[in-house]
Amino acid sequence: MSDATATPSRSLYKPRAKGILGYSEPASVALLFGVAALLPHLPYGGLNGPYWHGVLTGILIHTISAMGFNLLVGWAGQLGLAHAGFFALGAYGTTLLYEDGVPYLAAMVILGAICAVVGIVIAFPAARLKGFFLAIATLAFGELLVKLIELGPEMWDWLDTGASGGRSVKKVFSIGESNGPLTLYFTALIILLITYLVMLVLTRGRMGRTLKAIKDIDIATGPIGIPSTRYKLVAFGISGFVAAIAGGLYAQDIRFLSPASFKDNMLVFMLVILVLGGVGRIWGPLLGAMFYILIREQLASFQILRLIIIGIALMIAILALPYGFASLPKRIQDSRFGNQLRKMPLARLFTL
Amino acid sequence: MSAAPALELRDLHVAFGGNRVLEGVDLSFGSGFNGLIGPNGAGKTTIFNVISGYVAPSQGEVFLAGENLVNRSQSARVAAGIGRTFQAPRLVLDASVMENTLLGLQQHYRWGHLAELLRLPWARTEERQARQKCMDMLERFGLADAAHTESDSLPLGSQKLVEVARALVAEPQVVLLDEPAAGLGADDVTVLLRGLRGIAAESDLCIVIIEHDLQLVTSLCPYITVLDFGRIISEGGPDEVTHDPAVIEAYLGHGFAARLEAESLGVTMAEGDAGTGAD
Repeated sequence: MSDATATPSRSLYKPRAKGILGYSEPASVALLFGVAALLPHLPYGGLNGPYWHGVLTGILIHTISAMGFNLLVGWAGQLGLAHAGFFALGAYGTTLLYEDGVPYLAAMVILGAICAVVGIVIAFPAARLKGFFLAIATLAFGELLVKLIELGPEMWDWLDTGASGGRSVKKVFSIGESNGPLTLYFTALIILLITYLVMLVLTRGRMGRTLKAIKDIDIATGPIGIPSTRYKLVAFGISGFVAAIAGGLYAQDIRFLSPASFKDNMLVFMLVILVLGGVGRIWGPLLGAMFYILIREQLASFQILRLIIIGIALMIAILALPYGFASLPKRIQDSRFGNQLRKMPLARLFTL
Repeated sequence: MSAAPALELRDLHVAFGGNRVLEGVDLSFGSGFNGLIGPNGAGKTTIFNVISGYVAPSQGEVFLAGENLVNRSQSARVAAGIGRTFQAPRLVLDASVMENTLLGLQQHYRWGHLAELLRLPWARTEERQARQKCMDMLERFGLADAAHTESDSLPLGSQKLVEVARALVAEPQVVLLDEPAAGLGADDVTVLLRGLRGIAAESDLCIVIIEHDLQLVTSLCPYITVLDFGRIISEGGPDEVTHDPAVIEAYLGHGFAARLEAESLGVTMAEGDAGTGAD
């Protein structure tokens, strides 16, 4: 087939939405990460104190973890729930490898690779399962990983995960104790930037549209010529890798590992972050993690109330905002008030 | 029909449990338009599913240009040159028309995702060429201006056209169109036919169409096969088929040929006058 009709001046790419305050997208991303880098130094409201340092670091780590989860659940539509297991494997594995003399960042990458491989291996049977069945099978696998960490030391001497999985972590990165440097925060920020850029390029391009096709029209991918199993494996692998990296950071953040931190509630909170922030949206994990961590920390003294608030927010999000906070700007723009709002200068702040 | 058939089915049998859907279908399709008609449940879509590899036949073979496809995977068949559309359009609704069309070119990319991730220049060139190709194909079906629209904001008719474009952009040897005109307005049908005829004139593409709009099939396809209860009950030119007593009995209803002639003469007959027709 020849190109009979020449189309000289038609754009082949979708025109990009403007970023924050009308700046171009790279500029707004740089701006956002710039603000994030300055935030822990601001002498305002205790932002430069240890409490907020902990909160901000927690947001970054949960965002990284949720970004990996988002690729699998949000884009590929595979409800693979072994995420908490990989997160735990990353936390314990990195800690153990570091104590054996491997540099910490190298240990994180090694654990990432291990979790990617394990993720791909469990994806082989999982690629044949759909929806609910996939969720149950992977959930069980994730729990199994945590159980192995908990009970492993009783069976194998070399597995030094502590009695019942409780063990302390050697400090590598400073979390800003007594106004020391914030190495953990900035390491997490750099890793988040890398994760964000990788996810951005992957999801905007061929990988993203292929994963969307697997989510929406799985049954038709074969006749279109998409090797869907291969892509599911890749999604499980990347998600496992990112989970382990986030786990390695998390170990340094909490300094004491215990299986209870990685059991099903970890997974539930990961899902909450994703659903609230926006499933399958690039900014979803960040918005979800900000909301979740801030609620958790601010309402720490009202144990039950904070769960109720998170629960109500979740219900509202599912009913009113199926794509989470990340879809809010577009929803407002598309609404009747959108035109009026667009004229206001501050509205552009939110057009991510 | 050309001399050498592009697609050949030999003695196809398909059964879902005890329900025998195809019972010994022998068919060959040449380049140009081929019609596949018959009442609901006759096994038309099942034939498409067997050709594209979604359903495995219990017996029989599928040859594409002399090559047996029966043991090939679905994506291997796409690579070999089989494209298809579905009765209900299967588009990724939160992706643009362009992105949906690009899915059809999945197997044409030579550079992997790592090259894509690193934004290597040759991978970006490849992506731009793929997009240009899609744009040219969308242009043929009047969708170029809608290329960056989200698919879910398109009417059903346009969605079906996007699917046809997606199937054709990979330049298959054989394309299977499952009721492409169903649900389309008159304008969309005109666009569809113009696009298909344009491509058919430029290449020796083999187009197989399942369609219930008999007027469309008879005016488009020089060769029509009629299926009923998993068997071929008639095949030949449009005149031959529409006058075949077996076809009239099983599918068209009595008086159909008269109505078709009347319609082509511009006379509209009252509903119910001319048998049940096809639905």
